[in-house]
Amino acid sequence: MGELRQVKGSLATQLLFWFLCISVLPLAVMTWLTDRNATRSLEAGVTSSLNAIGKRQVLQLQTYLEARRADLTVLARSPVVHSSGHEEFLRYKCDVSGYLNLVLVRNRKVVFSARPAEVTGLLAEVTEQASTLLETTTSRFAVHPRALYLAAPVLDDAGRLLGTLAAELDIRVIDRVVNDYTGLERTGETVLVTRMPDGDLQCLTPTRHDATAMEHPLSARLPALSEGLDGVRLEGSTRDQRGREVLAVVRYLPQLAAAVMVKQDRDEAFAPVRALRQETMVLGVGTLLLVLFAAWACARALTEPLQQLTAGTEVVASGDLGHRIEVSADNELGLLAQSFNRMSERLADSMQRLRETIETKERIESELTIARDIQQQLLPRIFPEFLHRPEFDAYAAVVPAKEVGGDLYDFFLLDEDHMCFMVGDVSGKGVPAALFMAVTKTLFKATALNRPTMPELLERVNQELCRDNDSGMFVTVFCAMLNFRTGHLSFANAGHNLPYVLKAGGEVIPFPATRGMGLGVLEEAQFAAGELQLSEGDTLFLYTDGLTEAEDAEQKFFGDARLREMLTRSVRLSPRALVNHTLEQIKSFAQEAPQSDDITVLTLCFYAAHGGGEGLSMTLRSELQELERLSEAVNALGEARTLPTRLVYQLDLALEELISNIMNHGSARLLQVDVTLAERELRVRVQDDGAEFNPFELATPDLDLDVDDREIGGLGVHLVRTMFEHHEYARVGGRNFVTLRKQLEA
Amino acid sequence: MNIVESQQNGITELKLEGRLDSNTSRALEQKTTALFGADKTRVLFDLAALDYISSAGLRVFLQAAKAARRTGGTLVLAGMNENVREVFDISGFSQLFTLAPSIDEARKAHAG
Repeated sequence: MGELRQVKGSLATQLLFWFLCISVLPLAVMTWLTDRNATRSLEAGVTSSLNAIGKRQVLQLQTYLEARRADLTVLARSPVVHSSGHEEFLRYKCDVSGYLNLVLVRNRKVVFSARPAEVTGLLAEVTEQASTLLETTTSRFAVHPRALYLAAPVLDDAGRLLGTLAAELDIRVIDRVVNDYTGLERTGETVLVTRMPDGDLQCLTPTRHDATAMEHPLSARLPALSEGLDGVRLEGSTRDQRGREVLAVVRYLPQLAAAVMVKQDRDEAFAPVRALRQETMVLGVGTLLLVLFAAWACARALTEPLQQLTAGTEVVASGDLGHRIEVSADNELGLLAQSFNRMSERLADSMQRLRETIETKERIESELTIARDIQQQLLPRIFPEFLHRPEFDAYAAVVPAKEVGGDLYDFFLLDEDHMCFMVGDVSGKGVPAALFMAVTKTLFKATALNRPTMPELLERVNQELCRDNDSGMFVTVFCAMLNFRTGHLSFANAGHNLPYVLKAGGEVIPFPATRGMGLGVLEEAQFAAGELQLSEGDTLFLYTDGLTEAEDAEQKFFGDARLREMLTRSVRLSPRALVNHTLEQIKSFAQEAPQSDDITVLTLCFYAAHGGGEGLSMTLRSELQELERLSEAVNALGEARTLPTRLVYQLDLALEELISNIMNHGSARLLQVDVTLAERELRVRVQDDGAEFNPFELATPDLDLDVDDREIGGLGVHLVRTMFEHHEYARVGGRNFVTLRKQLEA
Repeated sequence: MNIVESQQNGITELKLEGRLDSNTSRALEQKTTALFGADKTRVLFDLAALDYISSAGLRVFLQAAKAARRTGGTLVLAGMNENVREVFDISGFSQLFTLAPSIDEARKAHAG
């Protein structure tokens, strides 16, 4: 879940980031542009206004000074001032023209004046200048004390200099003009500055913010004013005498050799821009908050359903396919949740179907296994009927292919002299073949017990099989009936492979072919009878084509030639050994190649019986005393058949050793002993119903040991092994079989 | 099986008649156990009338031989027929025992 949370945070962060990018960036750019434009236009506006004010004030000052100058020039030419006695007029003239005083100076002496005056300082300076230049002259603007004079030469009609007429100007007029702040807001002011002879800059008038500005020189270096005093017109941003950032316009006033600087504090001038900036800031912060909220809401709207989806998916992933995801979002996520729920539903459905299919498959497979087991159980695997039969021995085995197949075999006694056996192969494989096989086998046995001839047997079974056989299946069958007293064999063949006869002398010959086709094809099919006389020791070898058609890894068949060659080398084997040997050969031939068809092998060895004495057949209880009875019977047999005493001894001994071993082993209740005397062979078979016990597995005792070290165990079996060159042990159908064979001397 | 016991010159002679098998060996076993229980017993087995011996009989002779080894006794088997001899040969017992062709020769050998 930690991981999930991390993912959610990431999505929200991304959303926030992009929202901010989208909203803040344009806002910032716009704010910057607006700010810059506002600043520029404001600066232009303020500058232009300052310009206008400056121009106006300079014009006013110039107009005032020029008017006084003209007025004084005119007055100087008037005869009124040529002589004294006109003081009254001059006083009148002072009042009318706004002069503080009018003085006529001649030779540094006051000829007359409107008000008392002395020719010193600035007055002396300006009168001297005017009388020298012979033209109307403006004095410098004195600041200690503050004074400004105009002086004009007074000439008589002959052009002689009579004196100089000086007028003291009313400085308050100039102060008024300079201190007119119309249009200059709160911080705007005009400064009238001149350069003193010592080079210092000096304010000539009080300023708005400093009423005593004219009393001391300006300490700061003010390049704008310096340049203005040099006649350069300036406008723009600069610093004023107070060190403030100002917007200023500088103009030169030549009449006073002064510079007029009209200025306004930048702080004030740009106050609207600052206000705009503040508003923008508030707007920006507001937008930011709004964007943040929107991003948060958006992230929430996205991540919450996603989280629900994820949690739901986790539940479903953990196996609960019945889980449904609740997503309230009425958008694509809601649709996704619905789709997911539908998917879960379908998944659950197909899981259910899959489970059912698997169950069905497993059931079918298990039923098939059972069917195969049942089918195999149909075939005789225990041959108790033959235990008492010294005349013949038979053995059979099926190696079923993977599927349920259709091979079958059977053998059973018909009466005390006859037995019937058959091998068959149903076409096809699978359950139908198995059913067909089961029907065939049942029909065979049931029909055979009525003792028909072999062709009749095939005909009857064929008719039954043909009835209602819509499946088109058929079965090839070889069946035979043996009279084991005489060795006479009658047989018939329904399209099956011809069996072989392994003659006791070593020859291997196929059965003679007889007419007949597979059963289940044609209802009126006819089958020919075949006959054969078996000799003692002849072995019959019946099989299905699964044997000859067994394939090796290169898909070569085992084939008839290889089979015959193998049989030739196997003439002396007992039926059981022959079957096992054959199957081992097939196995080593096929190696890992898959088996495609059932393999069935049935062998029957005819031992023959001797007329008069068939040998010995006894059933013993598991008690030592029974050995006496057996020994008596063996000796009686020996006498009756005039057997060599040595042979009788060996037979007697072998039976005692084997049987006492079996009895000592403990678990047998009953034993069956069969002794068969054939023409040239003695055969002994001992069987018991005890636990599995192979006496031949007992170790051979060490015969060279001294008395003290010798043990008696295993000696009896060693005697048996030595006396009977052929000895076999087999465990069949829950019984132990020991078979001994011995060649008889002629 | 019959066991006929007799004494001659301090030698015990046991004449065995009939079959020495799983059923009858117990009787002989009792007899030999008793005989070789004493020190330095000398026993001569007359087997001329023994028709049959199985491994059960061989076991009795082996036990007797082991007992004789312990007590310093001796035993001689005399006059066994061909079939019995074959069993002795196959089982390697011929080398373990002193065999004599007949009881008379055995007596002579002992006397000598």
